[in-house]
Amino acid sequence: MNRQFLLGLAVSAAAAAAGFAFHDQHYRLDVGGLPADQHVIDHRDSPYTGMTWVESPSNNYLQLRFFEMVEGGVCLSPTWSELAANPRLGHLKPAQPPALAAGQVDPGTLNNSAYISFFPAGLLLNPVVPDKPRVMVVGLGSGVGIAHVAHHFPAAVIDVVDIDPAVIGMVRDHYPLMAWLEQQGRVNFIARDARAFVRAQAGHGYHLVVLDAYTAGSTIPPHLMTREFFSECAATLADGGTVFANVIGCYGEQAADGSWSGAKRRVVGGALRTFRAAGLEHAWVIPVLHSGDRPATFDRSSSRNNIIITGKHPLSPSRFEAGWNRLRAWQPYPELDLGRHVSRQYQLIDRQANVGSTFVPATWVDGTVPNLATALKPLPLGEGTPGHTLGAIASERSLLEQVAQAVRTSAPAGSQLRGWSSVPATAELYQRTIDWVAFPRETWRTSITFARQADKHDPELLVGPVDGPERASAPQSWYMSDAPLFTDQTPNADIVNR
Amino acid sequence: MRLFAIYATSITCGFCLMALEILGARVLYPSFGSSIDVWAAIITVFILSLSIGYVIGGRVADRSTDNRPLAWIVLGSGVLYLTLPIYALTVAEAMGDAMGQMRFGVLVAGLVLFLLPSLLLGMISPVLVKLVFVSAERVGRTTGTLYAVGSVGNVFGILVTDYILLEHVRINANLLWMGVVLCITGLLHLAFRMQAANTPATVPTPAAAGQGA
Repeated sequence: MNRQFLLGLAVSAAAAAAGFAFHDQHYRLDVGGLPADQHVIDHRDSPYTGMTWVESPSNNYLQLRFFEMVEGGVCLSPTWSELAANPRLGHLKPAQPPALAAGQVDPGTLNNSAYISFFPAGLLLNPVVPDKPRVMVVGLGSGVGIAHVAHHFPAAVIDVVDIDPAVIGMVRDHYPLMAWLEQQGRVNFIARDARAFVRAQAGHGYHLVVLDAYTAGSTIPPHLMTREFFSECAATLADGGTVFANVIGCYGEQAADGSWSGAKRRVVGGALRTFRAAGLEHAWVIPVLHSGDRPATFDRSSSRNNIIITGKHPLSPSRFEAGWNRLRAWQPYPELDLGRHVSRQYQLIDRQANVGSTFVPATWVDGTVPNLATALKPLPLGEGTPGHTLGAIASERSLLEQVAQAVRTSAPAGSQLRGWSSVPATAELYQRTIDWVAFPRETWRTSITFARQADKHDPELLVGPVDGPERASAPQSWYMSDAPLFTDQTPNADIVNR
Repeated sequence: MRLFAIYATSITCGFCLMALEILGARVLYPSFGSSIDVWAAIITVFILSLSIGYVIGGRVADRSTDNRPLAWIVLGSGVLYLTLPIYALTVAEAMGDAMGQMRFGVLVAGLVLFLLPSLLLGMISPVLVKLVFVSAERVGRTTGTLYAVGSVGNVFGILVTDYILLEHVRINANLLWMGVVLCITGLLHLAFRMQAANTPATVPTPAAAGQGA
């Protein structure tokens, strides 16, 4: 045996040992601000993305992430079985209880991602709300948006098109309710590029087309945001149907010199201008308000989910009052009770250093630290702030030390305890209480109320008149005056949405 | 047997090279998104590294008298495949942060991560020509066949990775097992010595075509 061979063998073996010993963390769990009890249910790679189901009982979610970005989340509680036992939710009751594999969870329909609550708005803004809505959803994600529609519209038939079969497999395998809806024929999964599917569906008569496709980089695929594609979407609509687009971006980013610039607003503005150029000339924007957002101090430059609803009939609050009254009167999950699906957690925050620990479940702390309940001072909710998330703060140092000690001793092995090993001198204890039934309701109520303010969300004010002679001669007073028109020849490839 | 070993090496390396191009883009997605910029960076890096690899490989070929340099080149690329998962994400993220601008970040990350392994695999083309060379009258036929075989490896590397491997095998597992295959290929060349045709003075310059994108 020659010496060079032995050397080569040693080098190869060392490299192989190092490579195979390494475990990648393409989905990082130990991140401040995320729950300490989150863990991975399943991870798969596909040509398009790396996807992970992450579960956190304390934050009541099962989330699908593409790399580290949350695509959508569904609440673990109420479970599907709990919903099926509710006499008012007969349309979610299977003939036989689902067979669950060991360790498998059966989340229901309650959503854990704010913007998903708004899918029904597109149906409520049809001139007549359809009894048997035909819905197309472009971009599957976690599937919670589809579950949300199936919850509120029992007769809905929902076609879901996603380019990545691996995502569909992931949802079928870990979200039993979705697999059941598919068996019932209420949901159809189509693994195909949306452009080809939408063209094939011309004349199908959808009451609602939801555009929610994002690439792994949080960007809308360029060919799914062009005038040509939007015209193809329009051709699939029923009379009075609407197209609903989830567009992440902002209304404006102001530079130091006062001018408005930046790419994120060009996505929202560009989508609006492009929709209207594609024949869906009526449009309205519903910005989804975060917890803590107040309409009075609405930050135009803050990036958020913006719901753009477009159609061929008037959609503005002034010209379609009946529709907007429907939106105002509507309530997500009317069958569920407040106060029953609540998560309470603690976080150490250091406002000076602008860092926070992971959120630990209250059960790890409560009962071990006397006087904690009285020491926590509630944070006031601002006027008009969504009331689903309540906060309280305590800052007494000895108390914080006790809490951190309790966390370290009661946390099970494998917990994500970033930021709990010591208590910084300027730290405070933050208690967060989220009511997951109030979450969609309050988000809906505050966002819809806010979106009715015509002086802020009217496309005419945001991007100006529809493309045509009128646009050329109009004065440029709107604050997305440079909104681009996306076409197949000039797509939005240059606008990376983050 | 000798010819079989040379063609097998060419196919294996051609396969792994193009597989790395497809996997490389996917490795950059988490940090840079799946935009056209990622593909521009990847293609740039691979073409650039091939051209550098051909030059260096040509010089190595002129000096070599047997298949040992080839063995070490292939083994070196295998070691890089095996260790790539360890630092890929960290490097990509660091580049994204350091450059500020995504477009440059993705190019620099591509260079740092993939220049060296693809350069090594580019080097093997002229080195294999040296080994396959028998006589000046047949130089066109032998090098032509060799390049064709390598290109078949390229084609399979792209198609198999995109249509099969990425659907069923984790990204890092793909890289690791290709690293294993390359290391074994290198070790076999170390174990079984192969002399080059002993007429260095009449070896013509290898054509600068062959294993490319």
